[in-house]
Amino acid sequence: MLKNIENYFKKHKFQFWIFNTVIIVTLLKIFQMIAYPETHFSEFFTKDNMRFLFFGKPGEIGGLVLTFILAISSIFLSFFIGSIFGIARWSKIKIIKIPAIIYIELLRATPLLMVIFWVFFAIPVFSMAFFHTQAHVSPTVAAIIAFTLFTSAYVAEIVRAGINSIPKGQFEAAKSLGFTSSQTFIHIILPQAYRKMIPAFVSQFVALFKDTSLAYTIGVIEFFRAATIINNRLYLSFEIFSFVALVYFSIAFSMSKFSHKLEKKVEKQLNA
Amino acid sequence: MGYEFDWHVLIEYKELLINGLITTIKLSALGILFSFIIGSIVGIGRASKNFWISLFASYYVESFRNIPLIVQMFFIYFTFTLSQIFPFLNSWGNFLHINDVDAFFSALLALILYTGAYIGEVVKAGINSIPKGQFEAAQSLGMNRFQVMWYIIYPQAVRIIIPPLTSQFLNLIKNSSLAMTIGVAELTFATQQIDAETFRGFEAATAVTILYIFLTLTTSFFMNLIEIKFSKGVKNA
Repeated sequence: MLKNIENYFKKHKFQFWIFNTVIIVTLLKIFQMIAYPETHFSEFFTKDNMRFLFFGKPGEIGGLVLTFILAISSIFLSFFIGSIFGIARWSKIKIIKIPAIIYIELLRATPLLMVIFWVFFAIPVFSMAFFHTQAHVSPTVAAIIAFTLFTSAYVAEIVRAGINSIPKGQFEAAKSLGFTSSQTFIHIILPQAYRKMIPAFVSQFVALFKDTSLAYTIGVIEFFRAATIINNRLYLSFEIFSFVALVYFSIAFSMSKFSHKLEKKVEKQLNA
Repeated sequence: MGYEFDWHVLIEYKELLINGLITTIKLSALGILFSFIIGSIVGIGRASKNFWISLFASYYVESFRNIPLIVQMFFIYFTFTLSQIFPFLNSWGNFLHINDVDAFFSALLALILYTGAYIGEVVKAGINSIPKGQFEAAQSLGMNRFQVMWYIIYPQAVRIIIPPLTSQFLNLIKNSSLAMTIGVAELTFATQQIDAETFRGFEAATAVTILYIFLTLTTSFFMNLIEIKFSKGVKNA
C-alpha cells in the first residue's frame, strides 16, 4: 500500500507537492490546537495591518517591499565588490592578495549583527575624524552598507572558487592566441566562471533575504520590524509571527528550489 | 576637531563584557552539543532509504532552514513560556547561573532547531558519501540495521564531515549574537549597553568583534585537533 503511494508520487511531482502542502498544513493545525487553542486571526488580518506589513506606512517605503529593496540592492553591490575581492584573493600578487584575505576572513569571522552595529556606529566616528561634520545616515543606508560588506566577503569566496574551477588549459589556450592577461580574464575566464557561479549566487541571495530581518535591530521598518510593531499594539504574537514565518518560508523556499533547478540546468549545459 | 577614542570604557565596563562573553560561551556550547545530536538524527533520517522517514526529515530541514532565525526566536519567546512548559529548565537555569531563564532557553531552542537543520544536511551528505560496500559488508557480518549505522557508517561519516561541521558550529557561535534581540545579556548586548550608556559604541564594537574572532578561531583550532585525531591511521583522509 505505502509502496504504491511512494511509486505514484515519484512519477507525479505535482500531486506530490499538493500532498506535502496538505500534510504540512495539517501538522501546523494540530500544533496550533495543542499549543495555542484560542487564536484571533481576524483581528490581525485587517486591511491596514496587511498594508503596513507589505508596503509600509502610507507615503513611505517599508514592509516586505523594503525587505526586497534591501536584499536586491545589497546583492547587486556585493556582486561587484565581492568580484573585486575574489579576484584579488585569487591573484598571486601578494600586495593585492593579503588585504583581500584579511578582509574576507575578518568579515566571515564576525556575526552579521556586529557588522551592522559596526557600520552604524562607525559612520559618525569616521565622518567626525575625516570630514569634521556630524553625519546623519539613515538606518536603511547603514543596513545596505552592512549587508554589502558582509555578503561581499562570501561572494568573494564564491568567485574565487568559480575561477579556480576553470581548467588551466583555458588560460594557456588564451595566451597562445595572443590575449593579454586582462583580456584573458574579461573575455575567456570570467564569463565561464560566472555561469558556474549562478546557483551559488542565488543561494547567497536566499541567505541574504533571510538576514535582512536583522535590520530590525537598527530600526529599519522592513517586514519583520513592521510585524513586531503590529505585535506591540495587538499582542497576538502567535498569529503574527507564524504568519511572518510563513511568508518568509514561502519566498525563501521557492527561491532555493529555483536555485536547485538552475544548478541542474547549468550542470547540463557545462557537460553538453 | 576629530573623534577622540576612549578605550577606558572597556575597562570601566569589563564586568559587562566578561559576563557577556560567558553567556555567549554557554549559549554556543549548549547549542553545539544539542544541534549536533538533533542534526545527526535528522541527517540519518534524511539519508534513510525509507521514503516516508526521509520525507518527514526533509520537512524539518526545509522548514527550519527557510525561516529567519530571528523570527523563530521571537515566535518561541513571545508565544510560549518555556519555563512553565518544561519546569526542569528552572533548575537547569539555576545550575548554569542564568538570570532570565525564558529568554536564554528560547534563544537556545531556536539556535538548536535552526542549526540542527543545517547540520542534518551535512550529516546526510556524509552518510551518502560512504561506499555501499560498507553497508553490505557490515550486513554480511550479521549486524542489524542499527548496529550497521552506529558502529560502521556513522563514525566514518562524522570523520568526513568535520570541516563542514566546523563551519556550521562557527555559524552557530555567530548566530548566537541574535539572542540579544530578545534580551539575553550576551556579547552583542554588552555592545549596545555600553553604547547606550556612554556613546562609545565604536570602541565597544571593536572589542566585541575581536572577542568573536577569538571565539571562532579557538573553536576551529579545536575542531582541527579533533580532525587530526580522528584521521589517524586512515589513508586518504
